[in-house]
Amino acid sequence: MEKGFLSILLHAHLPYVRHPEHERFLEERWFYEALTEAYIPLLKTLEGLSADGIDFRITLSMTPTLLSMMSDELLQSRYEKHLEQLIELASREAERTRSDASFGPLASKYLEIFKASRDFFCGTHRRDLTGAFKALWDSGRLEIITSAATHAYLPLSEIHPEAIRAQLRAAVLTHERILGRKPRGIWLPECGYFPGLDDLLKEEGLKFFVLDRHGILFGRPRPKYGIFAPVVCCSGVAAFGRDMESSKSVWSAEEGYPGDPDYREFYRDIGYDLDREYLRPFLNGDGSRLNTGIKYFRVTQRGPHKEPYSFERAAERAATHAGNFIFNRCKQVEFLEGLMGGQKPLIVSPYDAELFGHWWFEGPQWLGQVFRKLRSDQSVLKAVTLTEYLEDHPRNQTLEPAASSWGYKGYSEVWLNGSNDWIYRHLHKAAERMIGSARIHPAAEGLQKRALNQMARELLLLEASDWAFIMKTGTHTAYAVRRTREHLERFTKLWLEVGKNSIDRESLERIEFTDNIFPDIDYRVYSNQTTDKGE
Amino acid sequence: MKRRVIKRTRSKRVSKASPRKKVSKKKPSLGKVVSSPVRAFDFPAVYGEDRLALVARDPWWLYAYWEITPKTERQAILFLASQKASGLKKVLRIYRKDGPAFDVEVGNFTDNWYVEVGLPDRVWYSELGLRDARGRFHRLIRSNRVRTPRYGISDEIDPDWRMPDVRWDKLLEISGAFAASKSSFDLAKEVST
Repeated sequence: MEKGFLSILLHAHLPYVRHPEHERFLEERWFYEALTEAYIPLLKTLEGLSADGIDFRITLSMTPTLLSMMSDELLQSRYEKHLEQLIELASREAERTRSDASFGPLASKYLEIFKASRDFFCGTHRRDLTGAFKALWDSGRLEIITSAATHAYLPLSEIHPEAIRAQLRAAVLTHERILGRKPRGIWLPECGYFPGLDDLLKEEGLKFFVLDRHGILFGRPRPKYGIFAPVVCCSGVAAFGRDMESSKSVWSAEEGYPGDPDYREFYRDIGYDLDREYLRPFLNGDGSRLNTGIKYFRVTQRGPHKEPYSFERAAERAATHAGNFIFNRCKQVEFLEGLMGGQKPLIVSPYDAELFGHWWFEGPQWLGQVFRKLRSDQSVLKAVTLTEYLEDHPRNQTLEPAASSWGYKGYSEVWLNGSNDWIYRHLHKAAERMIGSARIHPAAEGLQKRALNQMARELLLLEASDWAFIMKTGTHTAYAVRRTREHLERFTKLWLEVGKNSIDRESLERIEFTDNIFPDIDYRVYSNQTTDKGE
Repeated sequence: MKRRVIKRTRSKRVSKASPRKKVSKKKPSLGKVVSSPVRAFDFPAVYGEDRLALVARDPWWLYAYWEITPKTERQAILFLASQKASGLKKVLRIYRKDGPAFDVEVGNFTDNWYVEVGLPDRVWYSELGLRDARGRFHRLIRSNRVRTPRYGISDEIDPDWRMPDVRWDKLLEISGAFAASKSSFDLAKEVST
């Protein structure tokens, strides 16, 4: 009989980076790289476990932006071309390194991986990756939950509950349209929560969410089991707390598994190592260097010296680390069970899905090994999805969680600081205008209705937390500012036209073509009135 | 409670007139056709309204941004002049529900401010206004209300969900509530010794 439960949660998100107006667009590569390096390997791992009869349990949050891009025909077709290019580059690499005993086999392996990805994407699943995720959800081993429509950081929209409601409604609609079922739970973007948000979640039929540890621990009254059992808000919506100990073993740059010397070195990509002329057909139009996904070295040690990577050695390490993870979790639940007076603890371990495969190349293998070892090597720990846990343990303590996030310092500073605070007056103003327009036009038809719906799409895209986050990190700031400006511009133009009842059809069609996300949106979601909870 | 404020420089967002470019004395080439640049959309410097918004950044800090129309400000100044008010300063007055208010002088060259209130789990609102040399405050605009996040372990205990203190302290420690958490290994060792 198990002594505790483990719930591994992967959060899968990318901002909406679809650019139909350009044949090649740098930021669109974020999506293609994520498919090749994270989502296809994740699907292969989970399908492999299923095929072997391993009864795994994972909760996966898929943001509506990611789901929308995965099911978009233009991006699917472009991804196929991207894969062909990767295969071409890997073929040239296999040829170039043919007589090199260290790198030749590595290049051949990459060629094999990319060809297998193409077969998986184009052949096995006929470009329909969301269908593959849906099939796993249907099997009961994977649970897919949602997130806010464009991953908006909700605490900074508290001033406009209608804007939050629209983020949630569009999320639930998109989930149901693409995956065939409503989500039971939500991954709040960045775990951003404030008391009262759960009422809005309840309105949309969502049953649970996840908080960083202090969101639960600082709850009122005091949570009896700390973060090792869910709590229930007065609204009836449940909140789970994130476990730090298991997070750290995977996240931490110092102590975490991904820094092992045998694992692949992320920062040594041939896109930066090889001659620019040789690479030119595979680089950006302007010839600037980029990550190709072909990396020949292992972490080795700190400093510039790196040794060639070995797929076999890395796979062995992933298996060892999976065993270590299980061993530590078993010790953790045994200790906690004693402390909790016989109550079986639940360990919730959330990770960014892109960590597995993209940043930590061996991550998907590690994940697969965790579930293989869970079945064969122990009986202390049982893996569950979050819904499964709630169904089996319906009685939980009621309390009000504390406002919190999982960002740096635990609150809103990452999304509200000197680098990005200037956007909020525009976001809030646009939300206010959207709410006003929705109230003035409660039953718009025809072109006006289309314009109002497009305004809603532009506002949702404007609210993506990614733009504020990128401004803070300073890595692609120009792009984040550009996206903020473009969505505000399109929104404002439409708002003016709706106000004058003079819609420019051609221009509206152009905007609809460019930002085609959320086809089933209904702008009237913004006209629901709620009371100001701060009063 | 000591309060500090951090003075903010004017936001980058606020549009400024482009610096005057040096005029080249070279004659433009007649052989080239130069298309006139299309004026791109820029973030509005103002929305032409009176607005003061307040958000909580964390348990100790609020962020305020505002816009006051020249008309509102002019009317206030004229009124105060008629009252013989002098030494006017623009201040953000921060109110705490059931607590004292305090002022932050913000000057005329910014439109946003981070205010250290230093108190979690309190409801706040603010007013932007003009304060004269005699301390009289003339409100220009009032903000929304906002609550700073709760911080720390609650003293409130549900009798049906009570845990012995010693155990709860350990649970808290392993949860890593305030700092880097100890592993359950370390704690198991401590418990056994």
